[in-house]
Amino acid sequence: MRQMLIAAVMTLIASTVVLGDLAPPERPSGRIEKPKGSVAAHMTIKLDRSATEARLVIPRNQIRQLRAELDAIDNPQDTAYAGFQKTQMIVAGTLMSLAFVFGGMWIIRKENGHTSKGTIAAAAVLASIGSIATIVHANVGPPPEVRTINGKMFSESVHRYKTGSGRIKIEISDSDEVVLIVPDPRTPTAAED
Amino acid sequence: MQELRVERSIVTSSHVFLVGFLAGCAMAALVIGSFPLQMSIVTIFLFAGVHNVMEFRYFVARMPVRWGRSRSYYLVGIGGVLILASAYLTMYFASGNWLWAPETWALMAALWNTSLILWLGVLFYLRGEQRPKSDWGWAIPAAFLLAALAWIVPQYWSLALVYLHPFVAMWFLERQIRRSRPEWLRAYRYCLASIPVFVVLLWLVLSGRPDLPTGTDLFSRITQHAGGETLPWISSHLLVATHVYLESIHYAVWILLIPLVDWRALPWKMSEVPLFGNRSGYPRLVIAVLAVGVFAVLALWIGFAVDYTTTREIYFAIAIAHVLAEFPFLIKML
Repeated sequence: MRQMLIAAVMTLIASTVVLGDLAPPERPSGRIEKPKGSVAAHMTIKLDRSATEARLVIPRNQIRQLRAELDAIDNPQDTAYAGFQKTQMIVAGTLMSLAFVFGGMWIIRKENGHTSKGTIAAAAVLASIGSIATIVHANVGPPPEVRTINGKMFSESVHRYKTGSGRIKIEISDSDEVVLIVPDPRTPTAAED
Repeated sequence: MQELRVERSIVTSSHVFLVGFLAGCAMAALVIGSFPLQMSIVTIFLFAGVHNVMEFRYFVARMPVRWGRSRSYYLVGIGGVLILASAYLTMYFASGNWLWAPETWALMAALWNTSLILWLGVLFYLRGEQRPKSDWGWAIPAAFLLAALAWIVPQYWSLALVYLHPFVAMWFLERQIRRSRPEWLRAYRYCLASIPVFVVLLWLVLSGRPDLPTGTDLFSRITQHAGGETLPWISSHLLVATHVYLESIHYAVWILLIPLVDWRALPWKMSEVPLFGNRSGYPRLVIAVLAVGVFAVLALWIGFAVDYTTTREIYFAIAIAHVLAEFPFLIKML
């Protein structure tokens, strides 16, 4: 127990360097911008020959999220709340450090240098989860140019004028994904004439 | 001459228990899924106070007359309940004060959650010290890790407590079945396994439902309690139905199932309460406190009838004490 207390005191003293790991704020003035009511989402762009007009289909649950974000803009939080978020990070980091320190001490004390089957099994499970996660991320998928929405998707004309515009219909759906359906601009082949 | 054997399936009490539990859960899921707001009001009106009295009666029966080796454990347990409940009530009733800025409330809530988790970790550790050949020192690092989570995602942590609390009663029931009706243990595990099935069915049926109306203060509070503001992208119909369903099972466990498993938990079986029946006990104190509890239930019913919304707010603020009190007794049973 005494060792645990010493470890806790050392960790608390060492936690003063936690601040060194924090990324510097982007704006030197320290002012926090108000949120702009944005929701992160994944969008699929589909070229559809049968489509007669461009349609943006937004899932209902994301409309709800956006609505919640807009409500937050209308009722802005005190900028001092940003100070609490900084405290959150520091305290969470300190508590996690204490968890690892005490956990390590418990394992060492329990095993007395001999690793039990249970510890090996737990380590194997954690390593497996990490390996599976790596394999999932390394899966071969579509080429990069169709997996991100950037300028490479657009024709030379769009790049020349740096913009494009037209009518679009915005719809709400019960699906999970934002979909932009665009009429397929390809000209018909000789077989199709 | 050949001997004919006729295999007969014998219906045992565990089968009856299983079928009754499943039927009750199915009916509850159907009714609560259809009328979540109405059932929230009805179940709290009818069962909230009664289940608190049944819980208290159960805890009193488990409290020994002399603490002996468990003295440290009970001091930390009861002390933690009193301190955390007092802190919670102070925060609750003072939070409307103009001195409280939003970040103050967030900081106090996070500190309270951290204190709760570390208190539980210490209780687990002390309980482990009482058990021979066991080392529950893992409880301290686990508590620190959970406390870190409570700081990283405080709104989700608080909501998780709301949804996990009903399962505490099921844990008590499992421990009681082990002691009093071990032949029911297997059937009970099937019962437990059926609960997530019913919850998933509720989610499949209700996920596309529109949000519940929040035109009144009561409806908006019920929706908020179930996480409607924390999870705005999920139908509040689904959230309220899930919360009420789990709470209803919680009430059923305390009011019906635990006395069914162990008749000594019936409120009027006072001779089974060591603090009452023992020569060194405190019979008058036990009777007095139970009587206060019964009068509190009556006052709660009257309050609900007169002003349901305000009474509900007061009840949930004070009821934190019973939520906290469950933990020391549950951990002691491990």
